[in-house]
Amino acid sequence: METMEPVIGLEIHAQLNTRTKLFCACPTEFGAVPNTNVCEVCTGQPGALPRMNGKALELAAKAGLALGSAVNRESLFSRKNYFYPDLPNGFQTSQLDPPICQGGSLTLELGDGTEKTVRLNRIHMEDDAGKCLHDEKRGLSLVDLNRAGTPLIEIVTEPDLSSASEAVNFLKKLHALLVRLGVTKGRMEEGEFRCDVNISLKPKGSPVLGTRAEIKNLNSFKFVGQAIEYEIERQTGVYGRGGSVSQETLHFDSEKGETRSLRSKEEAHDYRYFPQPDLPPVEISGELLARLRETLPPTPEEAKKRLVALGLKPRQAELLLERPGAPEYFHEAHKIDDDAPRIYSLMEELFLPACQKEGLDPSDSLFAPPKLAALAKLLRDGTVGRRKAQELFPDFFAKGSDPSEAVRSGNLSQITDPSELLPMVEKVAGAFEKEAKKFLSGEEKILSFLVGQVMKESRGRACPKTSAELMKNHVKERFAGAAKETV
Amino acid sequence: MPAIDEKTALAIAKLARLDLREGLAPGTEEAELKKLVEEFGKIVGYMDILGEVDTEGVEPLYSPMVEPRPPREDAPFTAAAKDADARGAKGAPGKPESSGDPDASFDPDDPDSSAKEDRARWILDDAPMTFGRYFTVPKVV
Amino acid sequence: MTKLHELSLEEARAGLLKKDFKVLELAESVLSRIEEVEPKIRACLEVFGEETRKAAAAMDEAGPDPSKKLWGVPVSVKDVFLVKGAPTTAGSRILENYVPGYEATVVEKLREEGALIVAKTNLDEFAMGSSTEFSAYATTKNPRNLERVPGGSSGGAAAGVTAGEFPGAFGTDTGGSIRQPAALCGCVGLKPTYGRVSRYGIIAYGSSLDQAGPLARKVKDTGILLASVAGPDPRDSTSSSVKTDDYADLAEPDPGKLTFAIPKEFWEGTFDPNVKKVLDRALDLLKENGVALKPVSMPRIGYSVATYYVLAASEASTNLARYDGVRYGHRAKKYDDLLSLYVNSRTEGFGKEVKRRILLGTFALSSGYYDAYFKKAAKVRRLIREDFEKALEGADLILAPVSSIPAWPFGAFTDDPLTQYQLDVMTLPLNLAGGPGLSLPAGLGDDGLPVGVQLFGKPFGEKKLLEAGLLLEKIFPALPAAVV
Repeated sequence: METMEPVIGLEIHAQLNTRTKLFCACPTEFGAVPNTNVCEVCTGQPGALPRMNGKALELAAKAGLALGSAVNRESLFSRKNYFYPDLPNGFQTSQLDPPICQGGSLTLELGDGTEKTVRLNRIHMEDDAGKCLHDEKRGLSLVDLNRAGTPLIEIVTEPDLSSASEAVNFLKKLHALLVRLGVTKGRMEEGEFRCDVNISLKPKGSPVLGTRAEIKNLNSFKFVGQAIEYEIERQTGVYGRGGSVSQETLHFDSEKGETRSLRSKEEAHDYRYFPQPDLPPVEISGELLARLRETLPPTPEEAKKRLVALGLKPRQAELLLERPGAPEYFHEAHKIDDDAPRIYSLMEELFLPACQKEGLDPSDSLFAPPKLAALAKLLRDGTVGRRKAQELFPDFFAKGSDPSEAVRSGNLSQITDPSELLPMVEKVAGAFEKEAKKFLSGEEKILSFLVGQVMKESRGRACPKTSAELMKNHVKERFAGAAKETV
Repeated sequence: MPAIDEKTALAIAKLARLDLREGLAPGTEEAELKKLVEEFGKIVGYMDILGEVDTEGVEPLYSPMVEPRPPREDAPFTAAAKDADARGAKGAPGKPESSGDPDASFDPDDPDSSAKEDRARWILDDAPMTFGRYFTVPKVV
Repeated sequence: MTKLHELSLEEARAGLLKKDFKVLELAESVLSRIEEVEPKIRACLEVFGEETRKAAAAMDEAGPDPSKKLWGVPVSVKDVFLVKGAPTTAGSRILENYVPGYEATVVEKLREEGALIVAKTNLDEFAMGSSTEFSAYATTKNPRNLERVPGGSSGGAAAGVTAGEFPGAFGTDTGGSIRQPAALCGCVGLKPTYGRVSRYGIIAYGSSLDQAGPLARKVKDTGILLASVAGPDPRDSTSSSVKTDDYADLAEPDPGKLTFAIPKEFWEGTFDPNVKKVLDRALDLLKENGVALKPVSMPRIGYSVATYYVLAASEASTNLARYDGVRYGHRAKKYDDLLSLYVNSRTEGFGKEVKRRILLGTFALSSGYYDAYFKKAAKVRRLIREDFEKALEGADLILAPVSSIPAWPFGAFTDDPLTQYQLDVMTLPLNLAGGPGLSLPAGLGDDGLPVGVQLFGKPFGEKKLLEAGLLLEKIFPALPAAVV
């Protein structure tokens, strides 16, 4: 049998980051008591009519601009008709033709150093359905319409992907981009970023596509990878046995790690699309597009270039760019103190891990960029040592304190680290050689004078006990031979 | 004209979640169904006269709406905002409609959020069958 | 002494403001008249006696408010207008026990203008019909002849207004459902321009065709009612921000300066002889008064029936998909799975005519037929609108008959849907084009049945339309009060 290769296309549904739903003013908050974030519009009551949320339109257009799509100045909403308990109107309001965006692409860096451009077919807006929970015991399905009407964009790729890892790579990059743009919060546990996979196999080099299967509703990168790998194997097996793959809708059972055929919602989907008569055509003015373009963050390549130009190594820049909010934070701190490497290392070692632990976006942390810049300066000046900085950081981070304030008010805790104290001890011993030799020759009381000088040197922060120990040993080591001579 | 046979009629009915056989008197069911299908076919057949009109180069007109509402703000809709809309919307007689832009005003942050559960209560109360705060249907496999 | 319920809306309001009588007295007169006449005509599905009396008493306490256009005036609404806390059925069994927790913008605006919502009027189920015979709850009779239909689908509104049950009513007009019953009962009915009045909270039939509008016994009254509700609604995306005029401030035009377009496609058909006689006389009266009548052609009008029914049924088929027994309304008692829940609830709940239109609409939108039916009809719609625009060039308004036959006997067309559809040929075109239309009585036929004419105006030209209506109202013979 000839070698078969996978042909994969993705349909991603991302929840738009709006306060209210697409066609009514109900809140989009997750996890509310069932059927409380609802009204006559999103529960499909008789007489209710839709009114479109302008923010949703802006976010959809922004996504299109960032992905290099053509944003249609005029697009239409369509009714997509079918019956299902989580669909209160008996139709979904989506966009058939024309959608808000067409075309576009996202370029991936493949493992082997090459690049691959994945083309997009379209981006369109639509409203989400509610949720159906299945109660096995009572033989009921329970319907919660809180989610019904939530604004989504659907992003459809061309079937340009050829492996599970490419697909996951694509999704991660798309997710990071959309989150960075503020288009979606992308919280996958809350269902804000979901993916359907269309996958078929074809003989290598053949232009003819095979029959494709659709795996619906995957909501984690891991499951996407697993589902695709399973399905490739399954389809390969079918062809290997001389059979044919049927066009079907599949569900991925994450526990068993396999795809299963879904009992179809409708036998043949005749959605009877037609333009939504209750909504005007969607218009985007040139001004709005220009304004949105200005709010776009730089492309990853541009962003990386900017960071490298400021003094970071390429790998450092990449690492920063992987963390939403980190590049912006870096730039803010760098404006105040241009010590790029130090700012970066503070972020990498201390700040970002702390944010991650608390589940905070850098922009939401109390430890704002000027404070990190202040800490960098203190380190550079030697006012605070590295270990001390590490020790003090959790407190600074939690309280959002300004480190230079803390130094001024003497609120820094004691230096107990011998490696920090030793340089000061050495300095003092060198400056006060006479006194050091006197100590060696038996004037014990002189030790407190020398320790006092260490205290002065450390602006009162040296731990006296440790300093005394260190001074004793150091003086002995350094001046022992000499002392004998004088006596 | 497409042939509207019984199979087609029943398929269309199923798409619309209707049963054409329901309510027909047993015994004459088949004859009555035949009549229904014929009537459906006649009605569709009449609509075929649309084919006589030359619509070359004519764009479809789906709605005669003029100056419809623009997209709204992404904010909850409070009662106060509603009043402002209503007053603005009517305008003074004879004056141009500038005195109140009915779209300008969805005030954000309804302080009376405890009304939220009550606001939706009537919706659940009108449901023919609920389980707690859920609508119910037979289990979808 | 004129009984209070016989006053026109304008007279009633004026009398209330002058304190010639109290709100409660007017309300009592209206409610007694309803009680007296309802057993004969069954125009109302529900009457809000207690609420009306209470509200009336409170208004008398507070005293007249001249800033309110409808202060103390009783008004009815067709049972597709949602009224909060009151059953709203759309004349259908599928909404048998539905009590909404919100209400139509039109109802809110009427209340804000001081009106008393006194009744819900009968209609063809989901506004689909031209005789009100398709109501699942009651059969409304024409007050001029109890053996005859009142027209439809706003038959209850027209019958009620004509019989003096209330001085004003609101109905909806998708293909003529205000204008035709007004003509068949012998009262005035106005369909505003699409988008002039909010559709929010009105049970939808044909989304791009529906429009709420007033019925009353005098043209001026319909102007006052329109003024109370016209204007954009933030909740109805299709409502228009084109500026409103003062529709209550009307001046009769000089007939010598008026030109009416007379489209031959409307006037040269076959008419019932009694109807034809009244129409011919109406044209003569207009000419005698100096109105110029300009013959024009509107060549695509003959395709209106097919265009309308394909588009309306298509929109309706999806507007009615929400009635599935899950969240409100009728739910079948017997079903074994989701599919049978849907099928049984809908099949039991919808009447025959509604089912016919759902089938037609589902068909016209379905894959393989969409281009030839739905999209094609939408193209013809544009051509029909062009016909209107052309006809109105060089004319102030278009004048047309409303119905080729007078109010017909019950049962005449209920089993012949195609014939019934074709009877609407003169009212449907306006909804396709979107402009405003006014229907008013032209006279009584020798058979004692009213004959109406209609005027079509330019989009948002209701003021000019109503003013011309005032003139015709003066020129044409007044109808006797309906003796029921």
